[in-house]
Amino acid sequence: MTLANTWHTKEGFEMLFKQHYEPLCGFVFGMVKDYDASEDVIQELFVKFWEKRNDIPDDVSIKAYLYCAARNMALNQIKHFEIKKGFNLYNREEMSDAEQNIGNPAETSELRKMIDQAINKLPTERKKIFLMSREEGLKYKEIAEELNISIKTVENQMGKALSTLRAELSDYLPAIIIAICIGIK
Amino acid sequence: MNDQFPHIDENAVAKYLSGEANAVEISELMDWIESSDENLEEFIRYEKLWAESSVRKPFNAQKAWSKVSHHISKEKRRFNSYYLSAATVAAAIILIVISIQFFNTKSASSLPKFAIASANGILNSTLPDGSSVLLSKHSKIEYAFDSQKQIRLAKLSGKAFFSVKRDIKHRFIVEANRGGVEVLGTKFSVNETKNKDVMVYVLSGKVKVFLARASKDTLSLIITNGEKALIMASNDTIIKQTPEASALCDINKTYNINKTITFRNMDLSTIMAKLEKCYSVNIKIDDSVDKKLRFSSSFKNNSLNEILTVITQTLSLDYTKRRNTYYITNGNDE
Repeated sequence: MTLANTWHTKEGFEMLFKQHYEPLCGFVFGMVKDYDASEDVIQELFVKFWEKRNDIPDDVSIKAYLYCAARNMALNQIKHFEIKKGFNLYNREEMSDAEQNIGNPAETSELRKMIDQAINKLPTERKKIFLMSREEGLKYKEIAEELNISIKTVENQMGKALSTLRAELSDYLPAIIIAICIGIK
Repeated sequence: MNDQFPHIDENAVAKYLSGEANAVEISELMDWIESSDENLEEFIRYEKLWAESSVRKPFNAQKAWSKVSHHISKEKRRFNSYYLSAATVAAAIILIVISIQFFNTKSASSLPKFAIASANGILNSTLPDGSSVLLSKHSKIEYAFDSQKQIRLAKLSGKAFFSVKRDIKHRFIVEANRGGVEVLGTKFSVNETKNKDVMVYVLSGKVKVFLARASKDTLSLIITNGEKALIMASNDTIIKQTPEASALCDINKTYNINKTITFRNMDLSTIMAKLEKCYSVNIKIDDSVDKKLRFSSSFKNNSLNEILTVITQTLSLDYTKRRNTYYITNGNDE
């Protein structure tokens, strides 16, 4: 039995949705820079995907397809967003983002534990900057001001922190990706 | 361990993921991601790490699913009642380019129920059967359902881009002069040539081309993937060209493994920028060309020449190639 077309059925589509929804939101957030707007984009993407599922070639790489579509839709969204912003209709407070779903600590995954360990091993300053960004949700500029360092330093420290995590967890990540791929390849 | 993965600029990724990247940085990273599947995979690994490195979870798939699943069941009902869902439309996309008037032909057996004509602009319209038509400048379409023959018949004067709704019971036929094209569920283009012959080019799938000859019989020919047919009204013949014979069209074939490119109502400059990236070529749009022209379609495994042909023919443009640069100019057929 091939799983190539599982997304043609509602069950398969749900599976595809749950596998890719959050990563895709994270992906477009980099462009849209608003959590709610990112979710809107990806929800719209999946609704359109469902409507057009029979036109999507069977042999296409679904992941590449989704990311490409997400990118295009995000770029369109940015245009609308900027127009709305111009008319001051999109006056959403950044704070609401931080209040959203704090993950249940009991659900801590294996990967999460490994990441925590890796973060703890980072040099003090780098760890501090990384946590200010990730946990406190501060902007690079805010971190730079608070620590009295340049934005460029924040950028470098963030990049290095990410790079260290990537190296420390490289044994874990390919397995994760394989798990994500199951059912769509 | 790290060496097996493609190199990525971590500063850029961190900046992007935290929403700090500017437009240039975003576009650079996108180029990197889109340049190979491995790069996309690597980016997804970073993103996974990023998401897991905080207890703050801004996105919730479970919550979102309840919204989306509600929405798609609503969509389905709408589709059932109006029979016009996007999923059922667009079984085939055709581009028809005919330079000659043919409304004086005798086949008036079916009454035209629907007619549209464009003036100086491009017109987007939906035919009664649900097929959509993008009508080029100074073009005209008469559409009728022939209840006797049980066929959908479109007569075209000028150029049009069809997105034909799939309906196996009622064939869709486009008439052009004495020749024509029958849609067998596919994507193809029909182009004029200088001497008023009609060129049919199949992007994927299958079409039947036919020519009602002077000797009253009808010549027909089925052509498939990558093949061309030249309907020569002057010689009363149809010539078939296989991809090998038509060197013009398969220059870019090597780029085409599983490549799908979709344009959703994009403007010309965006489309060309995307094609430049996908095919690693330079595309220059002539200053006289209206860059705000918009185009929608999806191409799967087509060469750059094929894609450019469809786009330029639809928008009344033209293209030429010199070295590794394509030049988009206004068409000279007006």
